[in-house]
Amino acid sequence: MLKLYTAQNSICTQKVFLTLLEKGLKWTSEYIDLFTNEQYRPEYLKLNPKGVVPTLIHEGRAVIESTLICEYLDETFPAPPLMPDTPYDRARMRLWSKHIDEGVFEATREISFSAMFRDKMKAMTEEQRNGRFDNIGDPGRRARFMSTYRDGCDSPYVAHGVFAFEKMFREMEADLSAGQTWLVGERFSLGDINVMPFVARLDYLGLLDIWLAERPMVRAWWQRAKARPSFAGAIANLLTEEQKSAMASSGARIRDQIEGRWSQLARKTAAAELAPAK
Amino acid sequence: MLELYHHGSSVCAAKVRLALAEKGLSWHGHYLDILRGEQFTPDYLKINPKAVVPTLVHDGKVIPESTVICEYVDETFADRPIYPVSPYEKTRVRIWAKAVDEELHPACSAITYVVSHRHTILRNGVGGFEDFLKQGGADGIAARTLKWQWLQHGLAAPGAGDKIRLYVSYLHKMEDALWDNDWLVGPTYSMADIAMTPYVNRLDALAMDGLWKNGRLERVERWFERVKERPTFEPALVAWMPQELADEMRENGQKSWPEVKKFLDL
Repeated sequence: MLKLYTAQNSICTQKVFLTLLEKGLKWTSEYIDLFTNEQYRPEYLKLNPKGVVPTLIHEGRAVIESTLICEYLDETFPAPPLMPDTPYDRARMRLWSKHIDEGVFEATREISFSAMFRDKMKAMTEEQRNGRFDNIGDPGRRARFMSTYRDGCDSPYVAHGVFAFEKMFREMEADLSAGQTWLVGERFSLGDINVMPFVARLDYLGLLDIWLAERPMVRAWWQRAKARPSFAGAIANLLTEEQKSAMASSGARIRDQIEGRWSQLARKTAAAELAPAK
Repeated sequence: MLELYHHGSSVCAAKVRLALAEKGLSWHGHYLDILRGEQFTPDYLKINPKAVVPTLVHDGKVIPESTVICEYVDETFADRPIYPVSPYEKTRVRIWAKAVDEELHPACSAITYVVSHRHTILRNGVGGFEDFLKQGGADGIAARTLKWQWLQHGLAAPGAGDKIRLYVSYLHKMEDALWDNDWLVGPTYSMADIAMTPYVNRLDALAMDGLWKNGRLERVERWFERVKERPTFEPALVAWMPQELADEMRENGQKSWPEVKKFLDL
């Protein structure tokens, strides 16, 4: 039996949902309320020492880290395969996971937080809010969190986030321009799955076109990805209309600022690329 | 043929050399002095736009990112596996490798720069900090801003203390994992140990072995002794570290130790 600890609209869990559905596996979900700090209860920390979702329980053992959970599921239940057949293509697949885990995940957190959760945090009592900050064990993560709470889109972390997406989309456009259907060749893989929830979040916030206006290959990939039944089951159908319209309206509020950040960056990047190489 | 772009002071490159040695694979090296900015040449940027080492080129196929390289090598050459077979045990190994990439590595480069490399970069006379940081494409803007602070302010740079504490928390995680085991995951020296080895060795190179010696973390101490006895340690790690740089790191590390101790309330 498979049990998954998750939270409402948890982007990392969406990767695992996509994987489970693509593989036709059954599971039960247990929801954790991040806004009442349920993720820091001692019982949960025993399963997941970082206090984050998701956690998969399989045969009585906890598996953590969404990227690794997806690989674990694919290796434990091999059919249909979601990893490419050759080591080289699996390496390429893992590079997409790294894009997410070492840049885009944080980017999404900063952008989503500025758009959606910042107002929710402002509505908390100071005690609740400080509790939320204090519970973050990693000082770097706490600093990012406090910076986006204080400065919203003016936080340098949001600028880094805009850049992380830019780098990823630039590479996606280049790779897809070779004519392949999915990010790693002709077979849909964990590479696509890892990226999808993050692109979906920008789409729901109404910000995606900022990056994709001149990237037709990525736009076409996104249409194909969204058309998969797993997208509806793992992401679209799990969101209420209220959640969707809340994302749309909060995204609209920060759109000008994000667009400003992006065009600033595009100018800088263009200038750096024009500069003579040493 | 396996070709490796690497440097003696890069922990990530050391990790790949160690994995290749543990698997008994031979390779052809391209040595890039990253403290002189040799990673910024247009030819290298073509295969590694982030301007970092290592990069593996296997029969013309380019593979960046040390952890991805190690897993690729293990999947390509089945002999002497460094990852376990069972998906659950494999995940446990991957958790260590991933934590090294996402948390420990940034902490390690911060510490190495604030304690030592800032002096080396100055001594090499690459035209001052600013010129050093300006090299390369636009991809590393955020990372280079951070490095600029480390270079300028050393241990007084914002967040330096946090990085050192994070590093130490990993030594504690190791101590826990080694509770009833010689190695971090399972009965053999695996990718989990390979991933940690260059990072513990880095602290040792910076004369910071006081973090685990003197009865502080005895299991980590014994683990590191076992690691050093392996025939792969000397050729993969020690032999590639330029003597001058090794001396400088030790000396700078010793000078910084009192300040480091203060961060940790030792």
